[in-house]
Amino acid sequence: MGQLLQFSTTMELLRLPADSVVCITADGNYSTIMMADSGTYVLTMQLGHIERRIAEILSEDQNPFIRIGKSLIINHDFITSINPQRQKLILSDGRTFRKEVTASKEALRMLKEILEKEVEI
Amino acid sequence: MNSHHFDNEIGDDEIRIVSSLSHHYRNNRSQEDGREKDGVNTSLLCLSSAKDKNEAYSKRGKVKGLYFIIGGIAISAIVLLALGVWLFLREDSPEDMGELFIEEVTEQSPNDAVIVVVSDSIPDTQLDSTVVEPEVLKHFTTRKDTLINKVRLVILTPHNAIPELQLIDEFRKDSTVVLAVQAADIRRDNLEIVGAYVKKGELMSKGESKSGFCSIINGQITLGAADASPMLEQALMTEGYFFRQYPLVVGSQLVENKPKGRSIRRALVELEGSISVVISQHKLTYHEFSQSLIDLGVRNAISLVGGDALVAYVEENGQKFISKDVSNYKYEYINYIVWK
Repeated sequence: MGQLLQFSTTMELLRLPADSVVCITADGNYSTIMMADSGTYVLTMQLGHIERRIAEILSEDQNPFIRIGKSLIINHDFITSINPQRQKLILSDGRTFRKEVTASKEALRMLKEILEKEVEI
Repeated sequence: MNSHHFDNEIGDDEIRIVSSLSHHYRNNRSQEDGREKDGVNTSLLCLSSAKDKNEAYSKRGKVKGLYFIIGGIAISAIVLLALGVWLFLREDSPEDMGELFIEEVTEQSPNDAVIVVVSDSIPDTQLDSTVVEPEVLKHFTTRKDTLINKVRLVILTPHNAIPELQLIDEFRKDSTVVLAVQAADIRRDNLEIVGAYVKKGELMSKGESKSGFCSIINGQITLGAADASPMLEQALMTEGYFFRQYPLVVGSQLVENKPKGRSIRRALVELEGSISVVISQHKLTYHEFSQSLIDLGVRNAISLVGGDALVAYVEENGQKFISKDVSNYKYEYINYIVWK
């Protein structure tokens, strides 16, 4: 098991393997964490706080998370398809789950460029 | 560490690597107008980074922008026209325009609008009235009519009954309910529940358009107002229930709400240490209704669906009252707080 992301609120303690977190979406003061086993966890925590926790917990070379816009954090390792024109991003492990999220065209265009450069090198 | 940059310094058109993802990204950061954050290595890739690309897009963007402006003006004109017609046809706007809730407010005379139920004032033909065996009943609802500063209110209080939330299908099949009122609002556009809604620990809807909340944990109702409440998490963890509505009274203080229209109002209230449902028998604004509840001695209250939404209850003698027939309703997310 990879590194664990630990989130603690007044009501709950969550310990989630970082490599099983697919994406985190924001909804006002709530954030929903989607896992690779299709489970979801709702936290009364803003996305910015979750992002900060991730940056604190994970070492630089083990951090696969990318913040896209104001309301989405994705796990780079699950990116399967990026379509900036349709504002569509598909996250999948290719076997058991498939999650479609939306983001702005510009953000997806930049994400696509980054991944293209990653492959080239 | 500068903590709040994670919250604020990102736009919808931007992305950033939460921490340095790899050497590859860091090596290429010179091409990306990265902004180094103190404490945490966070590179921010801004739109301005792709300078050449932006120039190429700028011409296309201007043409697109022109289309957007023309389209926007046309849509606004249509919306304004439709709004004007709607306002013209509707004499008494019941709610705000921001959120279109199904409250099913129909034009009624003030007496007809007293949905519930008053047995003497409404002809028997309007009520589905049946007698249930009193011996079988262990739980029931008491009804009290009162007048507070010229406002007629009906107070329904359940006894020996456990509260829960039910969707319409479940409610139709359940014959053990002794009090039921419509709980969370439904959006008119997508017919889904407005705001966070938890049923038996399952999150069925998200959002916080209204700060008032009601949670039911182990049969105990908690009323309050908060943008983020730990009661939501507790409801999720304990197979409880949670829904959001407009707050009306918090700690005996009046809470102002944006909608200014008049309608038959309903509220879930904490009164004299127990939970009751209060129904206005006149069309009131939220402000007037909240003030009446405070005058009544209510400590905490949140709104329930108003207008002619369903109210049903069973009295101690077994007499059952239901304000309307919902057997043909097709909206699956119409939901009720019930006591059974």
